[in-house]
Parts: sequence; structure tokens; C-alpha cells
Amino acid sequence: MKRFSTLLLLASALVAGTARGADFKFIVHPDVTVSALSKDDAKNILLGNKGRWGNGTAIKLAVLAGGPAHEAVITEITARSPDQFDKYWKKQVFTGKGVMPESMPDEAAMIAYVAKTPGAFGYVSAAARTDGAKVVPVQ
Amino acid sequence: MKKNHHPAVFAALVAGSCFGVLTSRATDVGGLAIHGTVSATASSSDNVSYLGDTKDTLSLNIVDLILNGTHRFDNGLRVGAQIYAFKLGDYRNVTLDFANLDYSFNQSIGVRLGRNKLPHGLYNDSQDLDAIRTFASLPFSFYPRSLRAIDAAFDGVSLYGTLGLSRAGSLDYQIYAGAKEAISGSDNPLLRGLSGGLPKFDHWTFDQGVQGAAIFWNLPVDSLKIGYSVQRLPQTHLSGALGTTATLSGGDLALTQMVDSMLGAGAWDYSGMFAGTPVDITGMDILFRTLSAEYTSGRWVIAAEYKLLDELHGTNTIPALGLLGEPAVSSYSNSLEYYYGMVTYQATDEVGLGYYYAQNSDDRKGSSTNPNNYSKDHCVAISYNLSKWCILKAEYHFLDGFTPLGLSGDAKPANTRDSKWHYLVLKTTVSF
Repeated sequence: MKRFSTLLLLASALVAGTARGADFKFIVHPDVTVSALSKDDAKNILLGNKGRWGNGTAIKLAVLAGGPAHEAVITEITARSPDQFDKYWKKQVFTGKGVMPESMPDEAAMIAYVAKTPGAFGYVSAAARTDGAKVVPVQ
Repeated sequence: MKKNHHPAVFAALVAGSCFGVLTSRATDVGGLAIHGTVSATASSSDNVSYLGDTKDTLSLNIVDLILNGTHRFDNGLRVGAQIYAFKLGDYRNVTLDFANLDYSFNQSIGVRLGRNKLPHGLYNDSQDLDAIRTFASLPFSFYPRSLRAIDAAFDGVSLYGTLGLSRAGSLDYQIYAGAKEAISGSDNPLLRGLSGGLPKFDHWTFDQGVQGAAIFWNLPVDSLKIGYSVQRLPQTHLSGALGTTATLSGGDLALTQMVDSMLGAGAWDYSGMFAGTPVDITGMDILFRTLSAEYTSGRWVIAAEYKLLDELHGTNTIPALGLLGEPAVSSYSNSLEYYYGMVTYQATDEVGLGYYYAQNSDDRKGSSTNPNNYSKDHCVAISYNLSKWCILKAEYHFLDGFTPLGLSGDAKPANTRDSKWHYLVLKTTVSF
């Protein structure tokens, strides 16, 4: 039994390590006061379930139109394919439950949007420079 | 009469809508995000006509147009509205699908006020959204197209939120109360469907509105959710008049012949005592209860639902029947059962495949042998994403039983010995 528990812990650590070692990072507007997010928080923001920061500021979600960082974030954080994520948001819009996230054509546009928009939340590849935006690790 | 026989129109719509708008996308007008979809459906059947004049012909029987505008203010308040226009067989209508104010206080609680989409089961609030699924049609009897008029939305208030359950996952909930729009007009497919017998209903009101809830548990296993939905329509009221001999059939026609033989030819239609006299069903409590499960894994989506529809405590009032020695007032109750299992597989970025089996019965014990009281539907579907905004679909149904026809106002066959029928659906949808 103890050996089984150890194996489970090892497996959990491996899964967690994969998530932390992903090729993306989350960015927010510099005025957003959070210093870290849980994976559940990130998922709830991406799916529109969490619409406010802790201080009540509305979250302005931005997503990339495509690319490796987009695929990695959507797959690893929301457990959906990019196509399923797109359909999820269409459903939210056409059932009166949400506003489509701002779609950014590339990472430069994403960083510029997040840097200038209070409450903004987005993501870019791990190697991208994020001048003007604040990087928030997922723990 | 084959007035809906327009395969060329369908082909033109496919070509025009898909190739002409390959670059279409949402429009932003002064901060108002505008989205929309246009769908055209052509169908063909062999034994009976369903949702239009489809028997032995390819008929452009359904056209849907959805136009949506949403704005979110900086404080998070969201205002949105959606117009839904459709052609269903020979019936056309334009409706306000929803128009609401939405404010989320935090992740656990938010409120929507106004006309809201009605949450029930997995797909009730998204049954028109062709762009999000492989199938052209949701299971006919589970999500009946003609019931959409009363099932899609309500006017009132909805509380919603997501509750974290730590290692047990999370819980999405919606609780709502309000009123549904009254339905009137003998040409409405739903009322036409309910008018299959002696009474011809032309008005349906929901005196005490609608209350309900939908709760979905997102299990710790990614993308597995199970849910329970309940919806109650207390004290609903149907009213209409007894039909004329020209509109009746079967045992009802035998009744008119008996009256004519007793009182003279034409007595049913012209004496003023029978045809055209009032018919009411009052005090009917309608209760929908649905269990749902959906699992998404990679390119696979598996879903199943089970629904019970109970119609309780209704009172039929048909004064004319009192003249024939029948009770003019009688009690009424009914219980119907529906279920389906569905699997879809996104084979490539472009091609999706799907199969579902759906069954329903007016007899919960499932012992009914009259094909007018049950249906069994095997459906296979293929979809092709021509672009991110345009999707083409083909779907084939092999059916046994005729209950979908009653709900849609389509005529059931006089000869029910052959209860099998086939239904082909071609559909294209453009969204932006």
C-alpha cells in the first residue's frame, strides 16, 4: 500500500512538473495585484467562470488566434482542444452567458493589449519579452 | 403539393454562404460585439413528411438566422440581445431569443435579468447553435424542434455561479424563475402538433410561469460532467375549439358521423353545438426532469441523457361532449420518457463523425406497440469544416415510430403497419 502511495505521489509530481514546465507564461496588466495563480484560477478565467480579480476589477480576457503557446495553454489548462475551446466560447456568446475574449493576432499584440488594458489577462510563449506587462506564475 | 422543393436553392445557399464569406468574422461596432449565424437545411424522407414537405423529395425545409449583440462595460456589467428568425416547414417567425443584463459579483454568484435562455440538460440553451456540434439535428424527440417556441427562453431572473469543491471538482449551477411567453395561432407547429385529435388548440398560456434549476458537477476527471435539471410549469392552460369534419380522422371522425346520423347530415359542423365550440385543458402541472452526462477526451465527446416529462392534474373541459353523454369535464395526466446516447469523433481538423441512438415512449414501461406512441432513432452524421466560419453536414436517420411527427404538427400515417422510415438531412451553417 505504501509503495502504491509513493507511486501515486511520483506520478502526481510528474504531471505537475509538466504543467509548470510548459512553453507559455501568463501575463496581466501591471496594476493587477495578484502575484500568482492556481491552475484552477487560470482555467476559470479562460472559461469565463472567474470574471473579477480579488479587488473587484473586471478581468479582460485576451486569447491568441493560434500558435504553439495558444495550443499549449488551451490544452494544458482548460483540458480542451483549441477547436473545442472556440466552440465553448461560441456557446457562451450565443446563449447570453459571455462576451467573446479579445482575439490577438500575435504575441506582440497580446503584450501591447495587456500592458495598456486595466484588468487584462493573457498569455505568451515562455521566451517572449513582456515589456509593460506583468508575468504571473501558475502554482 | 411540393412547395418547399428547392434543392437548387439549397445548393446556391451552400455555395454563396460558404465561398462568399470565408473571411467573415465578428464585427465590433462602438464596443458592441456583433455575432451571427445563418443555417440552411434540406431534408428528405420516404414514408412520411417531417418538419416540412419532405416526403419523396429534397426540401429546403428549415432556415435559421441568429443575430447577436453584446457589450461589456468596464465594471463587468454585460448587456446582450439576440434575434432569432426561422422558417420551419411553411411556418415563419422572428423572435427575441434573449435580451438580458448580466452581472457577476464573484465566481460563486452572478445574476441575469431579462429574457434568458432556459438551461435544461446539456443542450437546451444551445440547440440552435449548429456551429458547435457535428450533428445537424439533436435527437428529435429529446430536443423537439417545434417545442423550441416555449423551451428556448423565459422572462425573469437567473442566479448562477461556479462553486469550487476542492479535490471533488466544481459545481456549476443555475436557478431561475419567471414567465414563458404565451403561444397563439393555429399555424404554430407546436399547437398544430398538439391538435392531432378532436381539439384544435390555438392558445397556450403559462399562468404561474416557470421555475427550475440546472446543476452540473465537473468531476476531478478532466472534462467529465454530470448534471441534473428540473423545470416546472405549474397551472398551464391550453384552449381551442373542436375541429370540423374536414380536420378530423380515425375515431374522431366516427364520432362526427354518429352525431350526423343522430341529428342530421352536417349537424357536427353547422349546428353550433359541436365544431367550433370551446375546448380547454386547465390546471396542468408540467414537470421536466433530466439526468445528463458528458465526457470529452481528446477528439472524442460522449454524451447521454435521460428525461422524464410528467403532465399532471390537468382538467379537460369539453362542453359539447356533455351533449353526447360523455363527461364534459375529465381529469388528465400523462408521463413520457426520453433518452439517448451520443458519440462524436473529430477525425481531422475538418472532418467530424457522429452517431446517436435516441428512444422515447409515451408509456414509461416501454410496452407500447403503437408506433404513434414511440420512436427509435439511429442517426449517423458527418460534418466538414470548410473554414473556421463555415460547416457542411450530412446526416441519415433510420427511424421506427412516429412520435416526432405529433410534436411537429406533421401528419401521422393512416396506415401504421409499416412503422419504419428514413430521413436524410443536409445542412450548412455560416457563423461570424
